[in-house]
Amino acid sequence: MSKTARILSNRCVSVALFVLSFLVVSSAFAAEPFAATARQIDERLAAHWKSKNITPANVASDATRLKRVTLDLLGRIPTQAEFDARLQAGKPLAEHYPAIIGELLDSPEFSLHMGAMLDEMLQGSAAGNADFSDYLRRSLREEKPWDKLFRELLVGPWDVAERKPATKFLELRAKDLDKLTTDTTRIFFGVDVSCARCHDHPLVDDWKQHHYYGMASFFHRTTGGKGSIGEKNEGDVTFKAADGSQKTASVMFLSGQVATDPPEKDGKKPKVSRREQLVDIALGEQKFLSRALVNRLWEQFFGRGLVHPVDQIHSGNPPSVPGLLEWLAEDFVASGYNVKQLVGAIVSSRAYQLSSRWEHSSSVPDEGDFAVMRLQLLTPRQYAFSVLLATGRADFSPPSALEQRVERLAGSAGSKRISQYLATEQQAAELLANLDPKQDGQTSAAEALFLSNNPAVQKLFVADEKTLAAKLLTIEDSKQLAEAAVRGVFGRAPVTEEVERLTAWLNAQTSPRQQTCEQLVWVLVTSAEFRFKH
Amino acid sequence: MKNVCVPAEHALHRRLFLGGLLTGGAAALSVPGVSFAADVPAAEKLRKDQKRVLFIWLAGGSSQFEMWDPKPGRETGGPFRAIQTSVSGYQVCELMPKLATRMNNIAVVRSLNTKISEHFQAADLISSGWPKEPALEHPEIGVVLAKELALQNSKLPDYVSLFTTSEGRRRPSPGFLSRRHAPLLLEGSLRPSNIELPAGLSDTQHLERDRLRAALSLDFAKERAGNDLIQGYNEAYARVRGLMSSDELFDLEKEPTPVRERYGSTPFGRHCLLARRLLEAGVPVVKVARGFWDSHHDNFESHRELVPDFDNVLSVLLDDLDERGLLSSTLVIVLSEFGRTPKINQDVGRDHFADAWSCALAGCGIRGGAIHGETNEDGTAVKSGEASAADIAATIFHAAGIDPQKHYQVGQRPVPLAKEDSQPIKTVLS
Repeated sequence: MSKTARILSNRCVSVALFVLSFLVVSSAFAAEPFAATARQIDERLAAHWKSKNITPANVASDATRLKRVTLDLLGRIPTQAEFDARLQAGKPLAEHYPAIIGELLDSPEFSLHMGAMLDEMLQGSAAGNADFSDYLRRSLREEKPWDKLFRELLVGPWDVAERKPATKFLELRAKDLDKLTTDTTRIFFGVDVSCARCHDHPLVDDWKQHHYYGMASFFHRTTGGKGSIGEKNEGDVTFKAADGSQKTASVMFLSGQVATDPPEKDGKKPKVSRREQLVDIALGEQKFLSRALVNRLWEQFFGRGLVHPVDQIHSGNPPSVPGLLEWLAEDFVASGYNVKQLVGAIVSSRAYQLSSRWEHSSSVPDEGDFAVMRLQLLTPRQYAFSVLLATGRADFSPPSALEQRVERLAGSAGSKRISQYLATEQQAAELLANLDPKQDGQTSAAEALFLSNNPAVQKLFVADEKTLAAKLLTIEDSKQLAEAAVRGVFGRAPVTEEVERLTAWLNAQTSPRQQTCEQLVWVLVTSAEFRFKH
Repeated sequence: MKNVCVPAEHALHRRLFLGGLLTGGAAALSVPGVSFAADVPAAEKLRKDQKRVLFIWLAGGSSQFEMWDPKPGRETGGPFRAIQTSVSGYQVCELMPKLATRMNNIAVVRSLNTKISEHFQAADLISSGWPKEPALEHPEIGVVLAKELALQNSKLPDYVSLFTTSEGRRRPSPGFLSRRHAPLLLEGSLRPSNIELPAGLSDTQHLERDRLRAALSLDFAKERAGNDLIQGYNEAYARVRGLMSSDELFDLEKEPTPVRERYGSTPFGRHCLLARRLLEAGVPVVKVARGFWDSHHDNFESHRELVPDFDNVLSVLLDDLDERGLLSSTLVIVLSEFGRTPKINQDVGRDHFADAWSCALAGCGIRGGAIHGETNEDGTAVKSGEASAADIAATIFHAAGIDPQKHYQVGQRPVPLAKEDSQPIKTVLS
């Protein structure tokens, strides 16, 4: 009862704020809903640090934080105009950080980028189907809650064209019960039961053989494959237990809750969807679905889940910060599974804004303490978009007054930005396959070769009109050129030593100035500061 | 002090590159070892101690009947005769006369039962040694070997995989290991992509810009949490120059004409010659894949064409490695995803068959002349010495001097290199 009341009251608050943000243009209000949750994150982390005697890193510089949050929410570095507008002298970022979060989350680019991220999370190496990713993007744009999205992916309804692509999650796996069971359990519930297939899980006490087959029972009746998904009304999973006996699996969720079929009517079995039973149980249980997503998003932003690895949530592998994941998951449920709210809260926390520099004399705390931001390889998507933007190959200029008028009249606000994003996505496609995935952590020689020598990549740096290299070419003084290059690529004020180093390098070059400018941009774009999130 | 301590391997490779590739080219390469063994006594020993592995992958599934396990005179045997080999009591198909005389250098496992007879699944099984797991992708054996046998500070790739026809092409998967260990792929041509200097850039400019890139990156790395990543990042770039300077390594024209003629002009011959050049230069793992073995139609015609080429090239390769003193440190493995059916189908073909088939091994860690296991009279089942895909994996690791039960930690799970229940096939190990 109290939970329901809390959800209701929370919903009322967010509706009220939603309305308010329309009436009052001040976007500080729009970001306000994140403050309470962010404060809880910080209080829980502070208590954890205190218990471990850790002094956290300082807050990162304004430019770093703006770049970090733009990379995470929009999937690219800020444009020069965004840097200029959001980092004005004498106006500390902290004062309008909440407003910026609000703007970023409301931008069409957020749902485009986040949709691509969810696509990768759900489909793995098969990600990239335009229908499916657009379905996810539209869902995010409409602020479809995660529980609803989860239901649509597993049971539909797939009655209208708009929701039809949601079947792709099942289609990809329908012919392989093992994969369907394991993937669904890992992705949505953060649990890997695959090792319990042949015997009780050898390492995890929580997972027994009947958990695996219990989960498989929810999918056993699913039929179809490419293009269609169906479900039979009968059939049960039988399996060979480790002791050799043949058993019929009970239709059981990870928590132990068993699905009950409605009683027979007139000697007939009523129609039952096992997948629907799963969705109902999971939504009733709440914690598996909510913790898994919270943990995955946390990993996306911090480079590591509160439970690590993200598909190993079980009693033998507790979260590294006691209580935080559990609380945040409950808050997520209370918000009505509001993904945008969750993302906004995480990036509003102080922990998210910490520096990646560890300047204390004590040793660097464990990764799971989140007391300093860890360097993370950008995802191929983040890096490719950023390279295209920094070199001047991608256009993210805001709509002109005329274009804004067109958008308003056509009722298509944000459509220019969407076109720009999709155009950049198309350009990025060539790069993506050659860039190392973030989870690799390490860089391959193949990526280094690709960025160093590939002719198509080298072309990105040519000083064509409107490129960064062309702008640099107009600057005669080497020192000023170096400063402009640092600003243009890294989006921050240059520091003395690097300007000296770059100036010396520029002056030592004997090749034509144009080539020197092009190579300078290459150097900055392939340097660690640009390849890593920090 | 760090700068003073140059690892021996590093010194060796620097020498190899400076002496062999950048200046002398062909001459120095064709007789490696000689030029530097004299003044660096440790180098020769080191070079010999370095373990190398060559996978020869007969994509599509070669027929054990027409190669290692002939059944002459049986209904399943097909038209070819069996011939005596240099190993007493062991016969091979008459299509392999040259290998027959070299069997004392080769070990054969005739008793593989790997159960899966669908191409992709079987290829995954054989090449990783693990059954498919939905939540854990196992790395290909070559990738594991590349990680284990990699030389520190080597400027060469740790693994090169050659495949220029499209049939059955599978890129070796790094699985749960980092892509850093994934092979350099030679797919369309025998030269790696992106190793040429970009147009309009001089070598000096190329070098200078990377120095600046590395210096900026190191500056950035100072005091950063997790900056070991940046060290790895710079190492990846450090390899670029080495790979570019190995340009000549991939150029078969640098090989003396008589050597090229020995290997012949078939794609398989050229690939194996390139493989030898790479192994000799210090690339620890090379894979050569040869397609067109999937003989559902006209099995005997296609094997009449494919096996003699295989027979010739593998014989030349083994001789060549031996002459260069490399055979004892180079493990050579001939594998497919499966063998072919005893039953000859209506199209005079043989279909996929994983219940009883053969593979061959030679070189490092292998007891030449050892013939392990037997199939029954018609080759329809294993009679003795049954071996699984995991057993083959364990055998490969063991032969290469790596403990097959060594573990990688994947999340919370310790994963051994070869599956827990695997056994190296002792008969074929030296």
